[in-house]
Amino acid sequence: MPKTSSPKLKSKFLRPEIIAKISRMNFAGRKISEGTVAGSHSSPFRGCSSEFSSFRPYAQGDDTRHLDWKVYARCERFYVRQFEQETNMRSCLILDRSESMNFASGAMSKYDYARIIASTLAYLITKRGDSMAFSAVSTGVDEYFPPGRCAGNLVSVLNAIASIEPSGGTAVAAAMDLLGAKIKRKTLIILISDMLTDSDGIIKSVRTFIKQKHNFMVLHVTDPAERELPSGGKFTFVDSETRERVTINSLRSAASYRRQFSDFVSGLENSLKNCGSGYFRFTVSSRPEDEIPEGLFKAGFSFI
Amino acid sequence: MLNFVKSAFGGLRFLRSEFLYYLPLAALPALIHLLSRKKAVIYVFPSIRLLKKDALSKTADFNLMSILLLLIRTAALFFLVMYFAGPSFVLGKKEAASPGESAVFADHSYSMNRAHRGSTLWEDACRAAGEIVRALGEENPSVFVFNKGFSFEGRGEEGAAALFAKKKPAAVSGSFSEGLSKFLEQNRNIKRVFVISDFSPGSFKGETAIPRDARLLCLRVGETAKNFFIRSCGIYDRHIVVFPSLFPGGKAEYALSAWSGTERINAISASAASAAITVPGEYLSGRIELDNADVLSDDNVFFYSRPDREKTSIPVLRAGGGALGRDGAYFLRKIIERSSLFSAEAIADTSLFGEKLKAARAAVITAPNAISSSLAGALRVWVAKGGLLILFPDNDSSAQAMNRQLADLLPGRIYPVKEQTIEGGISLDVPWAGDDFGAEHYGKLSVLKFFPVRCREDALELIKAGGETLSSAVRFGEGAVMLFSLPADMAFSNLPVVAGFPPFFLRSLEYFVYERKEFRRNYFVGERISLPKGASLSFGGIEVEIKAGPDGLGLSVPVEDPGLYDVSGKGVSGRIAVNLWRGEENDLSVMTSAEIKKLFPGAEFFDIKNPEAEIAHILRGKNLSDMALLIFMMLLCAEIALAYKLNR
Repeated sequence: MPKTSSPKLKSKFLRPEIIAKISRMNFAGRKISEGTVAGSHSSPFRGCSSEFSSFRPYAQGDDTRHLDWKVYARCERFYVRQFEQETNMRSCLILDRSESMNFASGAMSKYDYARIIASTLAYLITKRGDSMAFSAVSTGVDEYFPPGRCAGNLVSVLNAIASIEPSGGTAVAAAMDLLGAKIKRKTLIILISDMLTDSDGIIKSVRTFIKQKHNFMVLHVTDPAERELPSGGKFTFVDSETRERVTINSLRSAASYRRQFSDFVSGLENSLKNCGSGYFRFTVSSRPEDEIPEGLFKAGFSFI
Repeated sequence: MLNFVKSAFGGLRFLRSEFLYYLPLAALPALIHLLSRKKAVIYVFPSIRLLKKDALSKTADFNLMSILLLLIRTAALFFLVMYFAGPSFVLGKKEAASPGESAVFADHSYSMNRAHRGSTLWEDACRAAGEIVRALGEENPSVFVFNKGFSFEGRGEEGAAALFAKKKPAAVSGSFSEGLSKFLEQNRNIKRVFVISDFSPGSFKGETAIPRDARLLCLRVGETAKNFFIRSCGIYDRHIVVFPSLFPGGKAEYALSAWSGTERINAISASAASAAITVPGEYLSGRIELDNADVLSDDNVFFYSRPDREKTSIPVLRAGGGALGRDGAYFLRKIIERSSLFSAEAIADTSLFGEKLKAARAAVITAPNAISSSLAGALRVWVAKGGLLILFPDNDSSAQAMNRQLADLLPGRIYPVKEQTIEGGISLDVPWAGDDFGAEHYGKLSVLKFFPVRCREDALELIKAGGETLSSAVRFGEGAVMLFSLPADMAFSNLPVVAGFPPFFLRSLEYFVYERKEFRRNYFVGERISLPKGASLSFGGIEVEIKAGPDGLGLSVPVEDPGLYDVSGKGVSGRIAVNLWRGEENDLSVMTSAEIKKLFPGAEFFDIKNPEAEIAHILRGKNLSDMALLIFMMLLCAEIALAYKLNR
């Protein structure tokens, strides 16, 4: 039989320095994962798994019942046996690839920053043995990778994250409705977006997902230049997605805009939190290796 | 409607209408606004959703506000210009009577003679004075003119008419400020003073003390003008050197012409700081004209008068025998013959020299050893009658013999030759040489040896070098003796070729031979002409009344008109040239209003361009300047508030 080769990892967005910091991180979902076996995530389904999956090094907090003493006898190191049904947390990463994500006031665009976050989360989820689906959305579902937990799936997702470039408008809410039909079981849905879209529609979709017992997390990516208008007088602002134009004097509208942006962000955060979703805002910086791990921790991913 | 506008605004005048030229400044804000309009910078933004509402409303608001700001700025500048222009509105009512008397002072100095907008400043001043008199009506102000001093011309209409009857101004200003202070102090009843002048700096020096209850109005006619004029002239026997003002910039092209009556004698063009124009000796009087027409053409003329001088032969006694080499007589003859007035006659024979001496007015001896006892006696008599004897020792001269033969004639005792090197010398204050000779003229004098002279007390030292007297002079009877300590050749020094010596020698001859016996022929306006008794003076065919001079011996008369005056009488005949004083009156710059107010503290200042229209406004008009300033201030506050709001 011809030997099938696994796809090669081409992503530059999986940063080793970030991986080093988050390798011991796990997501602590606030709701119980709907797994079929007992595992690292609590499950409403009781019972034991019998199908061996793999070994992994023992970590503090692991159930000692799962220690493989034979392996310990051979190599004097603690390993925990993992079973098929233990990896019972399903995740779905949704990456907003609209044109507005391509905005960059500095060296890095919002989209590149989002890609680093997505790559990191994909690695983290897969490393924990959880299954992960991935979708890139703009006005619809542009790319979709069904849930998978093998390394091959991770590499495919990472390569897709690296290769998909931003384009088109934004209709995240519509795309999420489409995705909703594909997500049957209880899933942790992580949306990485700049949220410059129909925020009411998103909140409505999120509410629907929450009602369906899914976990939802919004990782909001913003650029520092979005908070403040450029100084210097008269500007014609061109919408990156619709190419619409508006001319204003930034000197006179700066304060008003600052206030509106602040209201928008706080309104979004409050709405999402009120309907049971997680929310965290990232601001694009030149040091993602420091800020992304910290941000993920604050967003609810915790060290085990 | 038109009638209404005329009746409403017909009485509007501007006291300083030249400021109206700045009215276009009001368009400056609009101009800046148009020039500074920038094209909007294109900026790609993730989403303009948050900008839309805000931008639309703000932009409309901003446009309205900025147009309002523009209008306020334009109006503010307009009212600022109005404030400086001094709008005035004449009301129908008459000028309120002054609590005291009024006095009008009109400047009658030479600078008022200049042309300005079709009339002279003096004519403008007369018209202004007339308007003031008319406006004040029954108050009958006293009318004065001032130049060197004050002159009362009359009261009311009579005084104003007297101004028109006066001759055109020619006198130099005195210190009016000081005089006015004294006048106001002595005449406490005068509560309102009008000063009409061009306010050139020369007329006013020092602060004027104005009583608190008196009101002083400074009315300026004319404005700063550039003037080109003859600064001074030097009259020589064959040519006249002219020094023009070369104003402005210190450089100008000009033409000079010499005239005798209607005959043009000579004409040259020049561009230097001075130019010499040749006037042949037979033209004893006339005028030099500088062709560069400007506002004050009278000062481009210089009148000159020269005495009629006959050529005189100067006998020079030299050492006997030998050819006429480069001895002292040689050098002196060369110097003397540079002048058209003199000729030199070198004589080696003592008796022949004695014969020539009788007809000569000056004589030179370069070989004192040749003087015999009889010649010495003849020299005494001749000098006592008015001759000028100039003595130079030579290499063979004996100091002892000179002292013995000419003891009473010499200005001092002469000593044997002293060998001493001296470099450089100075010309002392010589009465007949004026300021023409200074140390620089003898800077290259080099002396190896000389005959030291110890001067008598009544002697005059003329040239000194290294503390030693090189030349001295003394009066003897009607005449004079000049003694040099050096030979007139190059044996002891380089004196004959030193820059100062030849002109000094000729100047001395000219003075003693001619000038001291002649009357003065060149004067300036304002000076007193002095003439010997019995002389008569006429100007333009009209005899000028002259009176006994201050010393009681001669006659004198002050002159006010420039020109050529005819003199006749016993022993005197010819012409006298009277010129305008080339002093500060030719400086036609005028003081600024700030400078005038500094000289006249508390005075009001007005520029008069059209006396008939403006005097009424000054006296009876309602000045709207303060209102314009108030509106300007209000607009300024509004502008600041609006600009702050827009930029906030």
